[in-house]
Amino acid sequence: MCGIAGAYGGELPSGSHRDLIEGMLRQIEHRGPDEAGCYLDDRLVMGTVRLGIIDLANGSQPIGSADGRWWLCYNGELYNYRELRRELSARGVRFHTDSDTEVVLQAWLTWGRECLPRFNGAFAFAVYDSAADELTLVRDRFGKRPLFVARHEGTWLFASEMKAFLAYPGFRFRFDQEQLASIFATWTPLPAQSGYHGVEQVPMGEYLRLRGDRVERGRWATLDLEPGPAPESERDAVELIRAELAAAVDVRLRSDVEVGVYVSGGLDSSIIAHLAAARQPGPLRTFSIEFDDAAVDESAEQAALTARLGTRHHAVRIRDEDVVRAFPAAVRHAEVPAFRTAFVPMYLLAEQVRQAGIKVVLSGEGADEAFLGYGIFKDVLLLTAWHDLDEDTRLDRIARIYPYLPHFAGEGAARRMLGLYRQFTEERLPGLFSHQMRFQNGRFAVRLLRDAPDPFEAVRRLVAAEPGYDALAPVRKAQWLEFRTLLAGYLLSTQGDRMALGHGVENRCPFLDPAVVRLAASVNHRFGDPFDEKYLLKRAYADVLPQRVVAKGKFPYRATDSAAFVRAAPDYRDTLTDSTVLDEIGVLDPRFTRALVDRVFDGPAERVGTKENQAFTLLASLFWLHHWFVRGQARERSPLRCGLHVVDRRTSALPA
Amino acid sequence: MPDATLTAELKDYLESEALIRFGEEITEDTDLFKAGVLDSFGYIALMNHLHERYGVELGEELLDSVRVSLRAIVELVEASAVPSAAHGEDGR
Repeated sequence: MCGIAGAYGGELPSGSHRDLIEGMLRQIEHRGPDEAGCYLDDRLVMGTVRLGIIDLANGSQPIGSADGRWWLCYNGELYNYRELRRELSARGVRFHTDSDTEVVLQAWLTWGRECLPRFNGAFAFAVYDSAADELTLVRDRFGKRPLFVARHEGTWLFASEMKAFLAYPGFRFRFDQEQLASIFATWTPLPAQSGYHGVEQVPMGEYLRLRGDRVERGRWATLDLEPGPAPESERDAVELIRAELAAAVDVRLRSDVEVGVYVSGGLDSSIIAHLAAARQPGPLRTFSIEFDDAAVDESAEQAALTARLGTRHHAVRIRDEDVVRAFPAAVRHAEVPAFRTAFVPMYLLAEQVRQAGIKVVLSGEGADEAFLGYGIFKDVLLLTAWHDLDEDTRLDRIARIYPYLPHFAGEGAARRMLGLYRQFTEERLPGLFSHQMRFQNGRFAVRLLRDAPDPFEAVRRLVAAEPGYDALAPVRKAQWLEFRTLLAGYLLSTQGDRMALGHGVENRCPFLDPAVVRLAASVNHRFGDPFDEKYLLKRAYADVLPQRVVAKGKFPYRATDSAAFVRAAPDYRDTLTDSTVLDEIGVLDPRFTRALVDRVFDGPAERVGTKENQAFTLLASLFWLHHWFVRGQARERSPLRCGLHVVDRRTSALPA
Repeated sequence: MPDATLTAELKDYLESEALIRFGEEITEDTDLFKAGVLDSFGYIALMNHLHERYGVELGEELLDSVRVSLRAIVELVEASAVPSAAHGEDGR
């Protein structure tokens, strides 16, 4: 895994181009601490920091074509690189390394952009045609790897992480109220959002082509959730799932370094650990998080699983003070506002993984989106059918949606929820039927913002512009939204890539293999009870996993939110309500901010629920984002630690 | 005519719970869901509050009203609360 950065076009700043790209790469060196390389041209500087995983000796970057016309800076892994390499070799392509990076370049030279749908991997890259002065920036289909772009005085900046822009002379971060309102209401940045003025993401499955002043944006992969033909029987469906997941794990174990597995204690990561353990000659290394807070701890399930599989297990125990202490550093890597603190323990876990000598981990992300594991998919089934159901059926289904949430538990709870669900049986936000309750709840956090615009405008525009979205069935619309918001905007990024790569650890997600996602679409809700989530996954692996893991049901990975700050860092109360700081941040409403902080710190605890926790975490993360990005404190000024390999193709550097 | 004490109590409750102030922007007739005052957590808390404080157990009917406003909540509590001796109706 790696990080990339660069600047294209306009008037590149005077002074050394080498120093410019070194400064940008230094900001993201944690993503690839093993080596760094750059390409310099009259119109372009770009570079890569590399985490060596495949072909450690020869996989250096940047990599160029034999004739020196094409240059590639690549961040990612192509899991099917061996198959593509064979196919390209059969067409006469000669390879000089065993790296997947060279396969990407040769595939691009052979097929052009048409190579992209052939790629099974997680990647973001910049490929430059020096003859045409054309730079293409590309991002993978699910948004596994990040790619940010900013326009600064006629120059295009791009990088795996926004903090690279801090090293570009004159560049400043400024919060964008409109984007913040959308992020606070919908939990995460939308695919193109960053939270800052003038900074965008290349959305998943898209590319950006730059040629002089010409800009072309396009999409190479759509999120196809239409079901294919159904398997003939439940047994067939189970066999297909086993086969596709095994294949997805097989290709993700391709690595020249040891691969570990994150285990949460839940079904999805347990399946991955089982499959990986069966394929390793020695004991598999597994890693997990334990909490002092029993409400979020899953160590009993983790212990049952790792004992069953005989893994070499490492657990990190997280206390309140650990969350608070690591929060600023984790936000620095997250780069965008966070609505819960669960990404922080993942940062601490990655640190332990790296210390244990592991650079690659597999995890269970994507299973809940592909196989409809979340309560929101049951919500939409219930709400769609609401008017056809009698009251007893409604009550029964409500009780089965979020059994782990306290306000769904207890006598009479389901009955009290009736009126709430009834409120959301009509579509008030066009195209967002499934997520109305969640988004509506997000309005509370939006009140943190002064002069907040309509927080749902951006997400409405997103679905309105999506070809074919309107015709999707309600559950598939919900699934599309989950892939495009929570998965890409938080789980894969803030909680995934950014925390792991913060310590030079690459995370891989077998459930996001395109073949697995395609198969899931064809089997979902065709067998079993849709209110028994991930029914087929449980059927497929019940015989090899501990019973308590399979029987537990959906229990989302969470960490202690505002209570950790109240218990371990009471000084946050003054910090977050300081007039000078609030004035400087500028976008916050001081009255609501103070009322919220008072509520969180004064309690009582039962009055601090999900919405208060989310708003508080968004506030605390915004405070640190202001410090790191708007004030620029995240900038590293020291030189690259691993040195810099330079390919200098500037006119001034070429021999006469 | 809605009971002034009940209105004041519920207003206090909502202001404190949702960190809002009733005034020009949010009035007794504002739809509290649309205004972002009431969300699913707030709704459940309100249900629990009505149950504990006034003995009201409401199902779907509260939100079947056209507008979920402070005024509508007060009227529903008055209509379905455990009765005082003077009314002699059954509470739910």
